[in-house]
Amino acid sequence: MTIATTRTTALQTVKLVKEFHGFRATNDVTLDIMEGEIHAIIGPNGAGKTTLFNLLSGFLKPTSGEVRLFGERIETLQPFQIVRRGLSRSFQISSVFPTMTVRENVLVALQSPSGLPFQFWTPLHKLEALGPQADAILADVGLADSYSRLAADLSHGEKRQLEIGISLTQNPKVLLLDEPTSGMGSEGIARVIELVRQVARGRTVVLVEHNMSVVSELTDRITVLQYGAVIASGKYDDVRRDPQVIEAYLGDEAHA
Amino acid sequence: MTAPTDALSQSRAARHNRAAWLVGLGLLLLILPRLIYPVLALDVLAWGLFAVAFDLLFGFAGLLSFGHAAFWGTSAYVTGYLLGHGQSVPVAMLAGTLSAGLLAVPIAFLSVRSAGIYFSMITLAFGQMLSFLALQWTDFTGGENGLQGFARPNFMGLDFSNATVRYYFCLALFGVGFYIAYRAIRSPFGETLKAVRDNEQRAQSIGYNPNRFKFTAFVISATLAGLAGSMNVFGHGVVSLDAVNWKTSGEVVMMTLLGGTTTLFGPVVGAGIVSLLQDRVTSSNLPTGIVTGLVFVLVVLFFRRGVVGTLQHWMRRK
Ligand SMILES: Nc1ncnc2c1ncn2[C@@H]1O[C@H](COP(=O)(O)OP(=O)(O)OP(=O)(O)O)[C@@H](O)[C@H]1O
Ligand SMILES: [Mg+2]
Repeated sequence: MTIATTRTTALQTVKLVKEFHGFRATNDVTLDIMEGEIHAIIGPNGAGKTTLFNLLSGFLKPTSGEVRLFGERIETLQPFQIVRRGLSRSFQISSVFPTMTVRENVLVALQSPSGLPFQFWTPLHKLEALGPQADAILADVGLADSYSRLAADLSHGEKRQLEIGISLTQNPKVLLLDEPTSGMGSEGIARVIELVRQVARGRTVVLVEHNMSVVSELTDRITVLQYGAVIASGKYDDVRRDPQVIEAYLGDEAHA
Repeated sequence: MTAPTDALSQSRAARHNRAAWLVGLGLLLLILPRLIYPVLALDVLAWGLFAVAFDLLFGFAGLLSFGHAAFWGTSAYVTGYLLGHGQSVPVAMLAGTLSAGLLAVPIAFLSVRSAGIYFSMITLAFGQMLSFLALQWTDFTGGENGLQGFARPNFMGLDFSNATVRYYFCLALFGVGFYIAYRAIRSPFGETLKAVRDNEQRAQSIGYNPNRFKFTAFVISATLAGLAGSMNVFGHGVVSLDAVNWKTSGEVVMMTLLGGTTTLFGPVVGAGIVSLLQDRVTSSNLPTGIVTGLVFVLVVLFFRRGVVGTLQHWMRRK
């Protein structure tokens, strides 16, 4: 929706540091993620990708440094405050509401931006007003037929789908996806690619992803983390030729 | 798409199920003073509402309070004190109920920040503080003697010296309290509460402040526990130190688990069973605590969902 030359920064970190008992899981990370781009964060296991997401979404407080969402400092805010400012995330380990049905999972998330959650005099069936929206999201993530099942009973792959669905309910300006395709078959991966393309229209998407074909197909720019620090950032084709990156992570895949 | 209609019919079945329980239980409560003596029936009502209030917090918000006697007991003392100082029954009971809700504000504020066993310990500590206060502040509570011999002035032509009249008066209040708990659960608020209980991290990431919902559930629960406490005082005409004793907090936990948590009606059934059992056992020579404890252990061992939970489970399966 913006012209390329006047693009603004959607999400920014400045010298971000997170230490766990002296161990630097996030080491001086300075990042600029532009409005409307699809940005991948890659790096070996334990590189600090999830920790970075936790810092961006308020689940962890940084030891030092800044996080800015559309210019506003957010690093001291609580997760629910950050969501209301337009940043929503998914979790690497599926995080759903196990005693609720698939549809209720999405409905309870959809009602959050409305004034409904504090109205206990409103009968439950009023929530049906959000039903069409919920069904649309379930269709998008491929769970239309599973709407009445308990979230606890879903397979690993289906939980991943629901995980993304719940994150989409917040209609975020910035969406963080932590390994959305992990543990999915090729059909599921194809659906996620299609879905991310679709939701990325008018949105900024940051995703952690190990599957390089997903990364190359989806992303505008990528950032490579190692030992908590940024070792390269830029266009996928440039970064994959970076010798440091090849050594650290991509290895043979870069030549494939 | 066919999905939504299916979803509706499914919830319609659930609604029929709830309606059946509601009608059955409602009828039973209507004729209860004919089945057992009215003062015992009053016990079932008061403890039943107490357990429903407790389960709103335990079952639906996942917070196990070990100090709910504080709210039941505070309301009991305020109600008894005001009746002893010439207030009318509705004023005394309303004041008692509100005082429980008011007391819950600081306690809820301080305790919902903790989870699991820590929450239970904090509520237990507050309960013990209150119990100590009740023992010391004899001007207000009567100390070891408690409060008794206060009047229950007739109200709008209702003869409160008649236990059956008191029962039906309390049944109306029970209906109000139960309806409030029902609304709190079967509403967008209740759904959010369940979401917070199921997965606090996820609830936060979709824009909910978990503590706000837990706080609100706590205050509603404590207020309803207060209403129940005032019903008990009105029913029996006495307040004793038992009202704020930790055993009272434990008893409501037991009733709820016995009847079945998150089943809405289960806590009432559990309260009924325990009240009847205690009544039978006290009139025999058996030790009350051991018998009720034994029944509790057996039910928890063989019907883990509680009486109502197990029945509902069987009905769903066939
Ligand atoms: N809460 C914590 N306390 C202590 N150490 C932590 C904590 N969270 C993460 N770490 C450590 O920080 C490092 C980075 O972890 P993180 O989960 O961010 O890695 P990741 O890049 O997401 O890895 P993966 O690809 O396996 O998901 C790891 O060494 C991890 O053990
Ligand atoms: Mg990770």
